[in-house]
Amino acid sequence: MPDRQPPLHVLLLPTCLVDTFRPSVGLNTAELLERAGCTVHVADQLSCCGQPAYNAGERATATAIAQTVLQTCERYDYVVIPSGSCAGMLRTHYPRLFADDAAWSPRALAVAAKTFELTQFLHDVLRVTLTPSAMAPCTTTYHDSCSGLRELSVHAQPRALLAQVDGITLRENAATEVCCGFGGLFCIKYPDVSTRMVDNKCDAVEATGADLLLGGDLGCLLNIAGRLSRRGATLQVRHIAEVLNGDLHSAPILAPEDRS
Amino acid sequence: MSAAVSDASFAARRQAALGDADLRDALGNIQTHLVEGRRRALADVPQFDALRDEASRIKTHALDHLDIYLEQFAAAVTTAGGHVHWADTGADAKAIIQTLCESVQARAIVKGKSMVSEEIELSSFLEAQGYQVVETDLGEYIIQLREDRPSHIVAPAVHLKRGHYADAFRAHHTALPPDRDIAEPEQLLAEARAILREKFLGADVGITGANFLVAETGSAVVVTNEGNADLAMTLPKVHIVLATLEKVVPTLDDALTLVRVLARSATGQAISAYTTVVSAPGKDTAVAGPEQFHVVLLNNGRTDLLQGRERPMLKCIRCGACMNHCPVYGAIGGHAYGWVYPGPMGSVLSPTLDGRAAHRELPHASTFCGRCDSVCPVRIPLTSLLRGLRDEQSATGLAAPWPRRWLRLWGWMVLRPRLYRTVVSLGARWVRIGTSGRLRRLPFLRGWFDSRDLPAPAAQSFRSLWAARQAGRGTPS
Amino acid sequence: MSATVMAKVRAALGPDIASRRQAVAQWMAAGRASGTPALAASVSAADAVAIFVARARAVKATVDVIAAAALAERIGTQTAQWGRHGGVAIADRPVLRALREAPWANGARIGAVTATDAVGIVQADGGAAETGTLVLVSGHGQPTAMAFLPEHCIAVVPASAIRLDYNAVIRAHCAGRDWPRSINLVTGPSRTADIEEVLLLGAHGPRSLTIYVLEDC
Repeated sequence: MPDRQPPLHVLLLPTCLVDTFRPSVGLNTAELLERAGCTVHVADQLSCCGQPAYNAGERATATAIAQTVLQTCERYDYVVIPSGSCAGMLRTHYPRLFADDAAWSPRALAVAAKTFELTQFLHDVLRVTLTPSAMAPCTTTYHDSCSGLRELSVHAQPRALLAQVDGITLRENAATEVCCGFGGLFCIKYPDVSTRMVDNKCDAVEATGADLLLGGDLGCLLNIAGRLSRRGATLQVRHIAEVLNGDLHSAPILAPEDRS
Repeated sequence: MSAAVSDASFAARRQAALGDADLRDALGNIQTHLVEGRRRALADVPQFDALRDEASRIKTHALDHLDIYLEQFAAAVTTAGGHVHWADTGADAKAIIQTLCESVQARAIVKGKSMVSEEIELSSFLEAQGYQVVETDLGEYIIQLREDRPSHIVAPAVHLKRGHYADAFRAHHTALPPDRDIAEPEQLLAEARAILREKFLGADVGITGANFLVAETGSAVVVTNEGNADLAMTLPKVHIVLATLEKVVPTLDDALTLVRVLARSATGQAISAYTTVVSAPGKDTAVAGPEQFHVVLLNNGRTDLLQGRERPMLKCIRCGACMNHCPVYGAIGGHAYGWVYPGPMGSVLSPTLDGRAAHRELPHASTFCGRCDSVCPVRIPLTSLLRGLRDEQSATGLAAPWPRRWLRLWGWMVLRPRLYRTVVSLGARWVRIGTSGRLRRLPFLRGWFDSRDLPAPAAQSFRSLWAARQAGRGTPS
Repeated sequence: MSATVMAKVRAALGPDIASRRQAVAQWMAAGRASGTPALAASVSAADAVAIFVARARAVKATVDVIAAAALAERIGTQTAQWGRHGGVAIADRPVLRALREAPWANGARIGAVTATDAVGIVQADGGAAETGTLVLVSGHGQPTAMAFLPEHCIAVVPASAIRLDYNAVIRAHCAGRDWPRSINLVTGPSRTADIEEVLLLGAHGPRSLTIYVLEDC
């Protein structure tokens, strides 16, 4: 890993779900970035990228939130987010949100250009070599979030990084390209459809016989783990940041041994 | 229909669909045959993406210059001895077609598959006027016999099984021996072929749709696998093409580019069995065929889309790839969408053509996974169009009020970070009371908890852990 | 009514009709036969026949490359296999004239077809290798129905009329003439998958398609 003089100042946007439900994702993300030579910053004044409002048709609300986010992001060399969905919001949708705004459009484009999903950043920008503690041998399967896959073309990066972790065998599931049914507010508005979609995803994931499901988006992982838990599955679910950073101390999401 | 009533009926249709095991099997067929078929077809054509770009460019250009191309098309048809009729509404189109049928004292009409004829309910109108109307596409024929509705734009009877066909044939083909064996698809097809053969031979008028209209040559391009449209447009003495305005493309070369992406996207075939370029009789009237060639050019709301943000939706070539790849369509099937067009394209077309209030839910019944965008052969930005319809609902007051209010309240809090953090951490603490780290139920978010567990919120948020960590290291945040 | 619809179209597109006319003129003059890029770039015209044969077979046509002199006998063998449960219709085209003398053509209908005919023998004006597709252009002596009504369709196509893509075939045949009332691109026999996605041949059009490519024509 070449020395960087001066160190890159990276703004870590943890995402609202990580902040509330699984802080270890944020801490592992920060450690990965620090081990790669970055100085990591977290902005107290930012809570959310505004995607729930943007997707629900509340453009004015989304715009106001986006402006505060842009103003903070501008100050850093890079913005890194452990979520394809939120990174996609900044990279793909902020420029669209401000496309007709002569003042904000260049700012949105500038921030978009330096915003990355975590595995994208580690693999494409930093080109890290990982040194996580080796894992006890396990088979894992990967869930590609739709926005990561389609908005950011994140597919090869997590797999390349996992290939660097000793002990992991990756087995692809048949439904990697199919939505898990989370969709933000969708899973609350159309829970019956969402449940069918997540059942299909769980079936595909379980069919691989893998011990561990990994992914890069906590929303998707909460959805899939939540359904696996209700189904009584024994498969473990984690965010990829945890495995890449060698953190297997925190319990997996809805750990099977707690299930009563 | 009021928005609330339409919401409720979407909920009912959706729930019925999810509980239908036969439908679930049928929708599985789409994955095995159509989705897998497309994947294999594209593997044979490495430049498929370039073809899609070209197809998109052709349709965009045609739409941006639609008036000129419509003029050219009409002139070419007329010069070749055909007739062009303009219809603004479905009622206009039906009246024109009725007049044409009357003018030849028609009794029997055979139809090729035409989604726009479903939009305007042409068959039931003509039947009410006393004409015998027979759908000749096998899937549309069974739909007609059952008084059912199509559930897919390419495979309209995909929701039906062989038993449905057998029941309908026994009920309607009463001249045949009742104890005959029609359990197998081959037997059903043989019977349908024989019955429909008589209808083709006895028809006075053939009505077809058109996949494309070629301005340069005054032609309709009609695509089938069965050959039914060809028989319908060859044997009767009058051929009527019913097509909407946006079907016009500039040249035959352009139409052939679109043909190259159509079947591959729809079924995975490189091209369908029959792709026919049909025009008016021209100078040489001795060449066999219908005596009359009519094209009914129908608007039925297309100019509203042409005018607005939804113009790209008019590029659609009706391949069905979007719905084949849509996980929501894959869960609920076509009837749940409530009108002629299902899946992602239907979620844009139903509100814009059939009424925004009547289809208020459809733009929301999507996770924006983007798979439709990624397979559309003419690169329609379907998820953006759906988001635009959500925006429009908020701006016009059509959106359901309480979700809006909660979202705006939430947005107001997000802009006040300390307040937001306080509210979230208090909420998290309250939710954690008495839990073991796993939530099975809360007094809200029933939709989630009916089928899923949720981890309890963390004892400390990432932010507070981070602040403590940085303080412990003496480093700034 | 045309005034209403056209007025709405123009209202949607804006008042600058002159620019639109100019853009259309440019588009029409430019010409954009896309072809199938991979096919055109890497394949020679000589390979077109072999590719055509392979791709037509892949869609369940029976295809043979033969000398013109062998045509009558080959068709005789075929019709004998099918059995005589209907008439034979032969298109009135020069390349098919010799067939009328064949013993199996006794009583055949020339240049016309009825619903009782079981075999229709037509000439294809060309073939497109890109998908193994026959191109039949309407004309005297070969009603369109001849390729659709009978259960078995036999199509005869000169090898010299096979090109790589549809555009080339249509241009070769239609350039400089009055536009035909129909052009049929036929790829394999008639089929449907409407019953549970089970593929069945012979939906309304022919159940079998036999293609004879005449190597010396």
